[in-house]
Amino acid sequence: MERRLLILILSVTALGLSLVFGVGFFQALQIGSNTSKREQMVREAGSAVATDERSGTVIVTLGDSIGAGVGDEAGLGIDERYLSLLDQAERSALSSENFAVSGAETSDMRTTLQSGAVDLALKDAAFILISIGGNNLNRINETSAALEMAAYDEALKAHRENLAASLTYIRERNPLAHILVLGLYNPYGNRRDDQALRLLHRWNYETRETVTAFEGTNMVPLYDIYEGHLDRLLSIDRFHPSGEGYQVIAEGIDGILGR
Amino acid sequence: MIKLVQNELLKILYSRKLPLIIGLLVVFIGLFAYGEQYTYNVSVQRIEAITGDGTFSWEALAEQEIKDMRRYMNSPYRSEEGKAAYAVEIQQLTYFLERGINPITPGAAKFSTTFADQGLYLLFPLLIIILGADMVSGEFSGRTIKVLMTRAVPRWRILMAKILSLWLMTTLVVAVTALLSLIISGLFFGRWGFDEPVMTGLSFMGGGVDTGAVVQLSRLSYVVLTYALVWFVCLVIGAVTFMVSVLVKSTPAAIGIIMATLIGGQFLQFFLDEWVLVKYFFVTNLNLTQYLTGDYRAVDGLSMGFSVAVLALWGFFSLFVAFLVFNRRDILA
Repeated sequence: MERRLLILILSVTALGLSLVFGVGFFQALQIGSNTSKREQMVREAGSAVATDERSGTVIVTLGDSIGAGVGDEAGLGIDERYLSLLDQAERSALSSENFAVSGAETSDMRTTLQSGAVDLALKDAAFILISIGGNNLNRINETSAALEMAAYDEALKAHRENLAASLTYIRERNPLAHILVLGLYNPYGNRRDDQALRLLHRWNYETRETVTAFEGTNMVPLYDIYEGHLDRLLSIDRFHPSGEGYQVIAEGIDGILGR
Repeated sequence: MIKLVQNELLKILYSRKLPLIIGLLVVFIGLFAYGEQYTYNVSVQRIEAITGDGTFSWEALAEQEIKDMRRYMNSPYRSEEGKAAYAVEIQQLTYFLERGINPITPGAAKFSTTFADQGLYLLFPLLIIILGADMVSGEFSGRTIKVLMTRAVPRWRILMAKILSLWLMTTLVVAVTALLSLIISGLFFGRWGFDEPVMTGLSFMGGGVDTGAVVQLSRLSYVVLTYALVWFVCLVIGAVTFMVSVLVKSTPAAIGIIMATLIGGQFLQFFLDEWVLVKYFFVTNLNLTQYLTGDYRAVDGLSMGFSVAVLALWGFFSLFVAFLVFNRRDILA
């Protein structure tokens, strides 16, 4: 008899539990499905955003003579050469605004930005191209090695501060557009000593640190691309890029931005 | 039918399977709980060694974390979803701070859900196999099949009774597992943690957290939800086990086949991305609780709804095959 009773109790308990589990199961199913649906949605949205990245229409170029295209035999410069890489449809959707000034240092670029002259272009920017720092470095010409190191350290510090301020300014006006910062190449080839090369690398490295602290930024590493090819990538003045040099930069940018 | 079901339940009770299952559970849960307690103690000791002064101030750490997260949330460059993720974490940390509980302190309720997540694809199926593998093949090897068949009862009724009894016993076993995991770990940790807030509906994708579908529950509800999923999976395993038991006349062979399928199926997980068919195998869809914890690798086409559907189909198909084969089988051989 007791066995029968035990069976009865077990059966009833099991039925009750099945009810509880059943309800719980459907609730869990609902939560879990929402999660998977969301995840699917976000993944699709992510790929949509990736292709829709350049919703702005203006290529904004800032900085120094390299941004301005000095040395290009065809007179095109980076922005024009980049546009020529695109297909007809994309090219017609973009325009270019160039605010680069020969001889500009990072502080000059910052001043230009903070004067508000670039605001309108920034708002509609497809992406922003910055070429800066070469003139800062070039200006260091001390007599003794120790003085040179001190001047270098100060210049680098000022450069990073001004660059960070510039990037902040840009981001405040356009949180999404991609920012590309050109690294420095070595225009002197073998004529430079090891110490100078080291300082160049350090300059690039610390610039990279400043740049990558901001979201949506990239460095364009020119040192490696130019190394060993200075004869065809530099213009007659042996300092600025030639037409081919600018073409290589434009192609590098195209590679980074992707299509 | 009721008498038949009673009969089948009696058979299970007599076979001393329940004590075996409970014994196994106690051993495993005990080991896991002890392991967690041990790890926790070691972590605390290590942190105390680092902080040096011997007092482990998790409050300061937690408060600092909250401060850092608030600062990130105020940055205009964070995405909405990133901010929501921080908001969720801040909420959870605040809960623990307010109650003076160290968030890494193990609790019974949390343990029982972790135990379910871990055991879902191997340990629990094993228990169900113990229950159901010999339901039909046992009749053959025990030579009771002829006695059974010569009763004036249609074959399908006999099978139905077995299936129903397996259902009831599976339900009980799952409930017992939940209870044991709570009780044993509760004794070990001395802490229940039923009212801890649990955020579910999160998913971790591409290094970030998507909080769009977030639901906040008490940990007690979370335990119920988790074990409800465990229950469903165990029912499906039970159905498949039952089918194998019908197809194979030897119980050891039945057990071997199912265990091989479960273990071998785990290796198939590696091919989920390339080999489309793997998705439709029931073994690769056993891990349902991962959709609650959000802790899963996103595979194209794999979602909770999909996994549930695959499992349900396998369950029904297994039962259908069992009925078909059993009805046609020649017993006299």
